Amino acid sequence: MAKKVMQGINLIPKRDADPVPVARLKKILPLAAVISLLLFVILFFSSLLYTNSNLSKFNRLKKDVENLENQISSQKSTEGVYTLTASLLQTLVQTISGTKHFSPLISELSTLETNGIRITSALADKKGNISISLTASSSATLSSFVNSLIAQESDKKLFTDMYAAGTIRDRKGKYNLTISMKADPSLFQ
Amino acid sequence: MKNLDFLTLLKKYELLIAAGTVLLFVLFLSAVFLLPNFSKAQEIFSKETQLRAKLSQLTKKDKLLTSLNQEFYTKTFPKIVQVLPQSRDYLSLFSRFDTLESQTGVSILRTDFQLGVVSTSSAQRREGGGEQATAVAMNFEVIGTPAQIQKFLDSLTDLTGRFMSVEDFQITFREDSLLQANFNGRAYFSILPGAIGGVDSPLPVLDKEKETLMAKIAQNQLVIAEEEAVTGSIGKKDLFK
Repeated sequence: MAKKVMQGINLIPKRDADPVPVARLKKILPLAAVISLLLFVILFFSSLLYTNSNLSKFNRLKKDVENLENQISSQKSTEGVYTLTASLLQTLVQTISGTKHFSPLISELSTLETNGIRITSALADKKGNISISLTASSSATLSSFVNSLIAQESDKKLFTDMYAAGTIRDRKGKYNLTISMKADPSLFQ
Repeated sequence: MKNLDFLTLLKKYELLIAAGTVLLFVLFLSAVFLLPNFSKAQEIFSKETQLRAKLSQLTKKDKLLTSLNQEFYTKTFPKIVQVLPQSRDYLSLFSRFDTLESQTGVSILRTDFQLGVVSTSSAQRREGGGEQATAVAMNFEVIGTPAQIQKFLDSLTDLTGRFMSVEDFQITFREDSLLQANFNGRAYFSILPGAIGGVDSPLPVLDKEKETLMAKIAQNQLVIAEEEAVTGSIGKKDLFK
């Protein structure tokens, strides 16, 4: 009976079992702590290495840039004359591109004069509008001239949209008139 | 008793407390040391990228500058200014007309110029001066043969001297076979930019068209038109003596 009583008495206090969340935490937290510590150490030293190596590269680059800047500064006069030349040339190119040349037109107008036809005056603008005043010695000459102009219009196409106005016959039988027309852009090149 | 309870609790949760302390410590160290290191590394990386780009740009600029023939540009620039001056420069206009008269054989009967509507100083105030030429309106009347008139017109735009353009004309065909021509035209000037830009500003590139233009102008002779000094007496200093 004493043995049975002895067997029933347990002197070691019964340990309460941890709640489930606590038990889980006891498994996870130490692991997390070790991993985070290791991670920190690795990342810290890697970042130090990276920063130091990049810093030296950065300083070298900076020095190279400074050297080049000094070199370029020493060529300031060359840069100045080149830049100003380029600027002027750019402006000149833009100015020239809008320019019309009337020399071919004047040359072509001079060829219109034939026997019996005398051009007294000519007006032209850079849009290609032309007006010529002429004197024809006779109606036949005038007719021949007009026909040649019409033929030129379909043939060479240098003058188009022709319009004759103000035809006057003077006492001597000569005809004065003004012809307005449009010149082909090729006459302004 | 209370101390015993506390110690018991401590013993019970010692692993959790230690792990938690380590985690907190790691968090603190990360905030104080690791994150600043990362941001510094990031900063260095981005600055390095910018420096590389700048270095490439500067290398290109230095290469181009070194390849330039400064003497050629120094000699050619005044000739280009002769073609497109930096101000109205009526003196160069008059001397150009004089030259054209003698070269082409035309006689210049009359020249009219626009004055003061656009002053040189107001043109200077335009931003980025030099991008567009400013025009000076003019009208001139010449007389000559058709061939002379054509040569005269060609010479206005052939870049051998000051560049001028013709907007419209009126020609009278005289009975002596000469032409009397009245031209409305424009002379041009261009204000150059006041500054050429910093060390790291890129150089403009001369394309083929501009190089051809420059080569043509480089063949011109530089004409230095000087104003004649006034000689002789120019009047009484005191009107009452």
